[in-house]
Amino acid sequence: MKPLSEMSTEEARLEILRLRERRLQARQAEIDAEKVVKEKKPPSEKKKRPSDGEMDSELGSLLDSLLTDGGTNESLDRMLKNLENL
Amino acid sequence: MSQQIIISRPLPLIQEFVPEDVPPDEIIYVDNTILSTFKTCEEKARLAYTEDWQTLKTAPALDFGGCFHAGIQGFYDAIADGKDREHCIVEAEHAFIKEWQARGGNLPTSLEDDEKRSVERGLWMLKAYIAKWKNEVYVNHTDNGGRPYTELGFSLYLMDWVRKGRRVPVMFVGRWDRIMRSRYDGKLWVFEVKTTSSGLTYFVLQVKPNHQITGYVYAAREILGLDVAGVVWDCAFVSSRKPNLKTNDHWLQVGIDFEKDFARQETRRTFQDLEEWLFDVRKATRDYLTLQDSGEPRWHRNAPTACHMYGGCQFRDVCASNNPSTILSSEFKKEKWKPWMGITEDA
Repeated sequence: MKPLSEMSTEEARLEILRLRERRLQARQAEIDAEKVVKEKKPPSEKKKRPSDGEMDSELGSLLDSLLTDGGTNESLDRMLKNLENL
Repeated sequence: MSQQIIISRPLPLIQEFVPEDVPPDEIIYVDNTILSTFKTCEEKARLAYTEDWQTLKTAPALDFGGCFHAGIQGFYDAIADGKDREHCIVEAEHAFIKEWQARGGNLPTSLEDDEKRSVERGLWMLKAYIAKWKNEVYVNHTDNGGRPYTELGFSLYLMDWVRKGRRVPVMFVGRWDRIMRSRYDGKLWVFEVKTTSSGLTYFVLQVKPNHQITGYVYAAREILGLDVAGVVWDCAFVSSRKPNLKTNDHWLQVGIDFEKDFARQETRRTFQDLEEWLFDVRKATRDYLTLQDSGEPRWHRNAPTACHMYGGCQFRDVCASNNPSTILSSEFKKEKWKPWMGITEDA
């Protein structure tokens, strides 16, 4: 390609104004590439929510332990912790 | 400080009468550049305008300013020709590029270059300038032939000077960027376009006192007989902003702050202001010509004040050297500063 200083003024004008378009296109390509990377990334592993049956069973065992030791502070703390973990 | 001379096209001249018996090469011409340099540092004026040493280094600020002026002239000339607005903008861009090519194409192309004065920045500044003042109150003032007063040279009789036993006229030369008429009150205003990398908040305050501006008002009244109200100091900021592609503002995408990068300041001159200007200019001219005719090999240096102004005097190393002639012959060329070229002649 001829240097801009040797082009006709119209050719040089269009060439210079294209610089902005090229930059915007490059920027758009960057944004698109970032989107693709995000979409391909496997979803992060979330803590699996226990099923209703599992929750019933857990609560049952907690109640059992509470009844067994007579409802001490220690057993209450343990129960609350277990509930939080659910 | 220097005038932003447009070299890609000859400049129309409006000249005061000069006696015919004076040979053209004996007429003395001075301009604001010579006189302001002389007032800044006498030795600098001697080296540049009596010894005619001009630096070989390119001057991006002068090239950029000249191109921007050419672009604006192209726009207003196209308006006067009755072309539609979009066409006028393209004409402005062509004029900018034509001037850049005529100057050797030394400015870089892209906004992303380290040198902020690029052709791309210039073209976008031109577009932004035109958009900014789209609804301006000023319209082209044209002569009887319908030609607009854009980029006009003037040559104004200043005084007589006796040189080698002959009385010769001293002419003060300059150029008006354009003369426009206000739609509010019908008054005429001289426009002086300035590109600057100084912050505009401060720069717009430099309108008074300002000998360059006062001289333009005086010349318009004296030569054209126009009742000029004053001067519009029309400033455009040359920023070093890079393209910001994370914004939807299409001006910031090309490094322009549309609200802050352009400012205009109107300034007026009283009769007293003009008289004071005439006194100062004649005094400076007499002092300059007296020293020139004295043949003194070394004039007063205004060191260090003048040495560090405007990014540093081009003769700073010359004055500090034990062997100035070596530096002059390697880093400078002999070229007479001809403020009248393109004004009294087709350059």
